[in-house]
Amino acid sequence: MKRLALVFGLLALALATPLDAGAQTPAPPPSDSLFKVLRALSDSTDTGFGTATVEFDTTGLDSLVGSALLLEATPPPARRVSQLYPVINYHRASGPTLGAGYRFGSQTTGFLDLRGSYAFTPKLGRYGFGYRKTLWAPGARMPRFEAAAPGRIGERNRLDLELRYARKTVPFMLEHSDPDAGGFGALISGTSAQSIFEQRGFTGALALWRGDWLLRAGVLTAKEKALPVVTRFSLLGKEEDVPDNTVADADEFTEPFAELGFRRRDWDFAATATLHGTGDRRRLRGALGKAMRLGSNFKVGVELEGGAAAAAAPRQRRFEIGGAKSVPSLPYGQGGTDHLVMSRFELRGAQDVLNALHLPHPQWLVLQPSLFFDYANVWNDPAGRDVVFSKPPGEGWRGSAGGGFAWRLGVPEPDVTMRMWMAWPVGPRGGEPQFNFTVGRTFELVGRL
Amino acid sequence: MTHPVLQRVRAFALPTVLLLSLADPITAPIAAQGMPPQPTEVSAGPLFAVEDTIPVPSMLMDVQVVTASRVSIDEILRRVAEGEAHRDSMMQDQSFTMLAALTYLDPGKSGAEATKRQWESATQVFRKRPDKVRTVPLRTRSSFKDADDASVEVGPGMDEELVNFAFQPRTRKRFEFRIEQRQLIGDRVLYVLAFRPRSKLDNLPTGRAWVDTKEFVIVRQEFWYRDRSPAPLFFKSIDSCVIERTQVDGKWWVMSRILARVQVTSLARFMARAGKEKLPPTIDFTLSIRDWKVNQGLDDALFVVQKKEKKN
Repeated sequence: MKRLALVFGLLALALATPLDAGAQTPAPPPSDSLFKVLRALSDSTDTGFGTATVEFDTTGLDSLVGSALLLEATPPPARRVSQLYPVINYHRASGPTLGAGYRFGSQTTGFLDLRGSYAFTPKLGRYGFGYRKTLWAPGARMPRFEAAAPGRIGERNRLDLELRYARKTVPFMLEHSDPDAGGFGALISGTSAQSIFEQRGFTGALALWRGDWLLRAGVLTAKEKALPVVTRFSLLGKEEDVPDNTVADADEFTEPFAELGFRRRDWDFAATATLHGTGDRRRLRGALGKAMRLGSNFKVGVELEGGAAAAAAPRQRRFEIGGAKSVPSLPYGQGGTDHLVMSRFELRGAQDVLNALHLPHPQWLVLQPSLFFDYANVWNDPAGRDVVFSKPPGEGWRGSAGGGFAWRLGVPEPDVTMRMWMAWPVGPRGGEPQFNFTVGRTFELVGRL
Repeated sequence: MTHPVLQRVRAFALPTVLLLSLADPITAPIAAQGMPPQPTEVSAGPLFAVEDTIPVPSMLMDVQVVTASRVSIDEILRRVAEGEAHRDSMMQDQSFTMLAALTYLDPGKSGAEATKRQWESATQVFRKRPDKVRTVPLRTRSSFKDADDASVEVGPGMDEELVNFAFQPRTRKRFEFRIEQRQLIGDRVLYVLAFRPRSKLDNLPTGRAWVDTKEFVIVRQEFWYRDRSPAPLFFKSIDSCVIERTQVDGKWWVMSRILARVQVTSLARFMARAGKEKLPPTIDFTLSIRDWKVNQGLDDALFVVQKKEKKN
């Protein structure tokens, strides 16, 4: 009983104690408490990185800072770009081609890109003179290599003047072609069906990157002509397997062109639309891409592409499918029609396949699994009309599905990816199984924006 | 002020620290940390919240009343973004001295790590809205064959994107946030927010930020690419990038240091050797920013050099 009385007594005392008397009012915190915590974190950072990294020799620095504004106000020396690069290619319509390019200049003067090469078999010279000058880019001066390259959505706002005169070879259906126009496959097996034609002319354009948008508009004046097959040599293939080079229509024109692009990285979305020429040379093409997250380890990407050309458009302006970027179980050059519609679905995993299989490999070789499905249709408007919208014929659909590995190179730009894959036909008109590899971007059909 | 209910709690010495919200209703912040779901609607007035994110020997601790409102993680993220934008908008001009360095770390044959300061520079920087910037190089020491091989470009922006990139409205939904820790520091609550990309296929880092919820400002951040690289051909990993901020004139939070440690791939080292430069396996980058002055009323004439240079 005594113990119980004691407990109740203490409890009563606790409850009866005047609040202010018993309360431990927190002492006002020292004003520098937060800074002490940050200092402690900073000290642990110093320990982690080591003295050699964190310490600076500040001898004499204060006097330099004091006189910073007294220094002669001369502009800093212009940081120039000077790059020499090789031009190497091989194609059945040009044979081995060798040459070099030289890019130089600064943001102040603009950048000049000179390139020359020689196609030995047909004895053809190829050359190009390009000039790029940034006319408007608010803010500080750009790093030199950023200034030397075209802008990109997501980087700074800028307006560029682009001028180019060139005699060059251009792939058919440029948007689906490989960066080397099928040169590697042509040299090894001779079976690459990518066709090319010659274009000689001048391009002048203004390109504006602002916020999430790109607008490029300009004029192209050029002559175009076909290139015949000049060699059937390949390292491993047979001469009779080398396909013909599609014959381009001879053409000479001056025409306007425009490109509109949009990209939101936080939406994983990009879209582009281009319009070339008018009348019988009109060519309109659009593509969009959207990626969606499936958990933390997978993403599915959907791309849609559509195109319409004038019914009488030259062969080199018409639409094709086939090749690495569109229904890859088909060879390049399927179609040559005035309308195109295509869809591509890709499922990509985040896993490092080589690591998961415990295969020894350099750490920079990160291969991620990838599955894809392509479905496309190319057709001519049955009535031969110059229309944008035309109903695709049901029997024209062709598909391909496959899988492989994606290797995100991250250079020269963050979304550049190499893909190695095996594709199988879907349906009776889907072609044949193909193995290939290609270098492209996250959204292959949208391209660089 | 001490609440009577809290007094009673003290007397029974509960084994946790109890926080009492007197100002605002609780908005179920604890659910974000894997605690049992809390009621989403609660009555107004004094309420208890059990705090278990502060690892303390609670039996020995004094109970302290915190009158700050308890906020959800979404609220914190939103307020941080607003706080950062507000901070940015209030700055009209800045001047500071920037010390930058590249340090090579190379484990020698004996295993001991040899360090070499490869490049170092000091620059005085002046910035003014909307887009004026002037840099005055003070000195440079370089061991590169080409003196142009390293530089730090300074832009006119005052938003310190390197600190708040994960909290910006456009990028926030690409990250997954969680409250890693809360620290009571005097009259402040310092939140440690961990973030990681929602998708491993996104080229984004993992990290944590220390947020002072009195001003909703990021006072420190660490991030890294340890399990994957932003540029696999050249970097094996970015082990750590630490960004520290300090307060100037009692109100402006500005970057005071950036430290980053990068592991370089054998391919990058091979390519460097082809260019007659030698790269070590590990490179440290350090940026120390000092002598901060904010809103001192810099004269436009100070930036005339930059204008002339642009015209040329």
